[in-house]
Amino acid sequence: MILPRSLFKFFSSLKLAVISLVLLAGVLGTATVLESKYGTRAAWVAVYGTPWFAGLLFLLGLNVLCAALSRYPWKPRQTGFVITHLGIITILIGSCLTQRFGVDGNLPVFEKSQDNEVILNDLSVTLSDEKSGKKQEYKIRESVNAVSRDLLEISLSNSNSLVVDGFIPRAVLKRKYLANSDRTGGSALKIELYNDRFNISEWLYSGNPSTPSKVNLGPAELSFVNLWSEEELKNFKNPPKTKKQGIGFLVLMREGKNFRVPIEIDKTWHSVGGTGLEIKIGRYLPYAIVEKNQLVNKSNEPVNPAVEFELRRKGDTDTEKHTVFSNFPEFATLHGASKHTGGLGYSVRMISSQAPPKEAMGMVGTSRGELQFALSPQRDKLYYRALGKTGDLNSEGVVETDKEYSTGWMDLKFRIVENLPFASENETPDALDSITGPNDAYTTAVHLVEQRDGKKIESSGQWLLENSGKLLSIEGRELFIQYSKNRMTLPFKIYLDKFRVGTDPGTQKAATYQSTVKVRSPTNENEPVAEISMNEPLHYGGYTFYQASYQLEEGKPAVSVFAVNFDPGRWVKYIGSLLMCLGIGIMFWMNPHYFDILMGKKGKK
Amino acid sequence: MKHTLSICLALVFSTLLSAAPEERKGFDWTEVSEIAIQERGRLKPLDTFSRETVQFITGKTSWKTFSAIECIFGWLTNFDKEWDDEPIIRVDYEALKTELGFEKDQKYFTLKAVRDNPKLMKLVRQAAEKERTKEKLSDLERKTLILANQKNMLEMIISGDALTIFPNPKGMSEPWFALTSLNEPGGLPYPPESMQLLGTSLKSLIDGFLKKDAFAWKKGAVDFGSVLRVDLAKGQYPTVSDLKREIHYNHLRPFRWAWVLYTLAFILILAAIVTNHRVLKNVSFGTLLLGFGLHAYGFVIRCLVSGRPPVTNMYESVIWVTWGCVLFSLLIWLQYKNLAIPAAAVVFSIVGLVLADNTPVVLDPSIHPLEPVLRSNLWLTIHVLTITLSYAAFALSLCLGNVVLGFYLFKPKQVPTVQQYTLYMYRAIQIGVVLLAAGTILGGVWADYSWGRFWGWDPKEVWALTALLLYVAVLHGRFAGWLRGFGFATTTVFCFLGVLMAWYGVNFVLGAGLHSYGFGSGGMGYVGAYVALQIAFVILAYLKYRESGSSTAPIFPKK
Repeated sequence: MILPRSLFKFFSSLKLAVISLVLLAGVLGTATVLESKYGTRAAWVAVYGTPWFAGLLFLLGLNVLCAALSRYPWKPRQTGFVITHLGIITILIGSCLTQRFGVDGNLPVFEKSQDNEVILNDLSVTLSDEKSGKKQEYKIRESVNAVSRDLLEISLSNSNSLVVDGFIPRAVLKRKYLANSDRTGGSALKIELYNDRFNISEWLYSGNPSTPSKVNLGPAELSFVNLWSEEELKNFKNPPKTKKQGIGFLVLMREGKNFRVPIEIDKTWHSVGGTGLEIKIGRYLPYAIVEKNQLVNKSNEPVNPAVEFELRRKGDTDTEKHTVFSNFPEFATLHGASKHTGGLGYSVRMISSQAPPKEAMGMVGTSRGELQFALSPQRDKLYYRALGKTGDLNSEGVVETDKEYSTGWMDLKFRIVENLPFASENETPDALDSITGPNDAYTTAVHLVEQRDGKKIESSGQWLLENSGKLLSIEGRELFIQYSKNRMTLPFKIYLDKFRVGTDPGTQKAATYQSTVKVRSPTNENEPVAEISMNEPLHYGGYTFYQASYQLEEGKPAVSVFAVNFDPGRWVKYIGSLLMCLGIGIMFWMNPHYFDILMGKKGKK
Repeated sequence: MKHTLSICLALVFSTLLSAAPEERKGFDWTEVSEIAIQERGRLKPLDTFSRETVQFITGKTSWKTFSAIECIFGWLTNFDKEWDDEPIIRVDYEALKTELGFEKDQKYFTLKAVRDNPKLMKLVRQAAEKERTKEKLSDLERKTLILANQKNMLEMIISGDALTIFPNPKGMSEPWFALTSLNEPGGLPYPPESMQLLGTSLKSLIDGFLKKDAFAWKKGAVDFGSVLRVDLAKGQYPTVSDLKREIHYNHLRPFRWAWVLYTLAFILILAAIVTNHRVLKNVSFGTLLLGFGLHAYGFVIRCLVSGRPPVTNMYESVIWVTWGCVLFSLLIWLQYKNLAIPAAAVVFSIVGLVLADNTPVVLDPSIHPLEPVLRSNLWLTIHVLTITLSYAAFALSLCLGNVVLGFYLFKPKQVPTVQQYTLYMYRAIQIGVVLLAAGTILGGVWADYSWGRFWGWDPKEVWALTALLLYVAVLHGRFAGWLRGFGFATTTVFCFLGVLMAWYGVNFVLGAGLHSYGFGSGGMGYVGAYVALQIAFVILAYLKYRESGSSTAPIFPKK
């Protein structure tokens, strides 16, 4: 006996069994309450994923094992008891195997493309050296509620380090505008619009394509544009009668610097000044929709403008293909650039200069006044034009901050509260105390700060949202830091050929989802084709792929999300389960003395 | 030709919209009840649709002297007239009435009052926006949306938009066409000769209705039904026997009769036990079996109507669990021949069935199509049936436990004579533990098959496990000799709270996790009242038990 007798007696005692059962029940109950208040991940972080919970399960397992052993040599009538307890131990061992060696993640794949990066559940910060290409991953210790204390220190050199000193498990984004002293970035305006009964103020930001510089405020439509040339200024002051507008332009972004490229569909290579890159624009789709799994143009109304183009280094033959959508800047490209893959390292946004038809903006029948602002190319003068409901000019001129101007309609006046010619738009995460909806409505965030000689440089502090990255220059090193869920690369790729949704008779309610996929791997030439649907998974290479969910949005290719699972403990758990159920059945239903009689003994002592 | 015909039909239809609401004596509603309608993803007889809709709007399956189907025709034929000013929309939620400026004591409101309420639309917009962004709705917002739906439904019946009774020739699961399609030229894709037939039969039906000619009405109804079935649906229409079966189910109300019979049986069994009358014993047991048989029959019919095992929402699981509880009581009765066992069990079944019969908002009795994740019938059936059946066994142990506690409280002297009840309880718990263990594991197998993991700490899974652990703890306590008599009864009774959490709490209180297709709201009052009563009962029994402690078995006897 490995354990001392008294300890063995304790671990095999019924008292311990009852106590640990009740304790486990209490813990589980509490965990579900936590889950309903703080979300699924919180229950995992606070209970199910913790070492002490594993310890509790281990204690129960030990108890079951010792209880079974303490009755050795087993009498025939204890068959049920032994099988049941053996079954429970087997289940626990199986769970251990799953926990230790299993894979459980998600694989989103766009229609007509392939992927093999499985998103796992743990959050981590990845640091990659741009030059050497070295990558290092650091796990973030999560918490149920937001914390601000040092969670992780990444040493960069003898004196420098990066510190993660804050974590928000449920973050909602709040937009803020900050003046840039280095004369970079876009421009921001805070405008107050008011009369006797009405008062509203709103920020307008131009230069960052992700925020529309156009807002509707009740009776008025406000717009703000950052003019890039004298010609644009002339056009703003005297708009040409017949609008001969270009399609718009692309903005190439890297390290906080922007490069503009006008969209001209000539299918030839043009160099992009200051980048060492060349661009070739292939196709412009004013109203891009996905039809029969192809991106096609529905009409010439600029409802969902999209551009297809190629990028390459000057003189290179390797090109990067992109598709960008003006309305969906976060959906940057089809071809893997949503992840930081190295590549050319530019993210691209499209800015359409064609106004969408009014119906597309949900403005049918609402005529309203228009208030247009424009900042001169040198960003020293702010111009405005106030247009009436029929589009005729009421007033125009140069605006000064904090002065009152009249719009000429409904006695409305406006005032510039703040004018930041060089500003950046920051989305800072706010922590939510508890959940108010399904878990995926939130994101997580970490706070990152540089540290020198043991002292934090407060000005370098910044929030990183989940699935975002930042380029840092520290001691002449270019470091890319990314914060996201852990990823795992499969040895083969899943190509999504087709995705379909079926509905219930006469309703729009999704009834079935189905994905047609091909497995692509270097060793496999003939690419097996498979259908994955609800309850019909694909088994390949030890992994199982389940249809988990999907995303469908107009103008974007469908995304099918597969749950990817690898479970080495599966059969162990199944066998354990079978044993346990069999054991309970024997224990409860068969006369305990049946076995004794069978073995030719008298049951009772 | 086709064009003129649809205009003609539209004219007929528009006359429909201006008749007066009156009872129609001697009218035969059978044929129109058997017209199929496609609604909320199901093909169902107009009879079912009428009942569900009238219940949804008025809170009852009939209105004054009008039956449900008469209501539907009445509403349809009275556009902008009496029905507009008739208080028919039921609103119970007081906070909503206050918010809308409605009279607090009033239960029914007119369509006009609801439609013209300025605050309602604002509230609806807010709630709809929240629903769109998938945020959790407050009670007020939920009730607001329900009221808006009641109003919309009524308006859609009046306009004919809700009556999607014209089958799609492309197939029965394609969207059907509403009565209003008659108003649109070319709105119906049928060949001219079918339109002709449709026109004549509908005209005869309507003429009969307007002229209160029961004979013409009947003839029109028969012809109209046959045109829909034969000419428009090209033989794919739901079969008459299926439609008739569903109507039979609607009219029989087997579960109402089951609880009535159970109540009768309960009283008779009590009388039989007190008087020890042999004939009375047989009669009472016979009544119980009759109720049990009707309960089972209703269940089977419901299965046939919905085409699947009916265990996918709270209503169905209540029907199933209350049935299982009586089933297990009968099984244990077979072994011990004690009539008190089924008598204790029917108390639970009566409470469950009465609730199912009278709280349609919490326990929705209508039949809905399955959620995608549930469409693997075999695993679904085995897993859910097993788990819920374990609830039934635990419910039986709860009833028996309360009987034991009742003796401690009211007849402490007789306690030694009821020791055999703890044996019955033990048997019930055994059944429950086996079923719950097996069911939870089958759930794991199903989850593995469907979601890709055997166990994912989902709240429903966790609470099933928690309940199992609690009962297993009680069994171990009993095995060790710590729990006997009072202690065993008390812990068994409290363990059922774990079952309640797994069964009701996860879906209705916690509202989290993957089992979200079973979520609902409401009923907190009932469950809370039960829990409070149960705790009070145990405390009273405990006080009494302490008082007369020495004469009975202690809770935790030493050795």
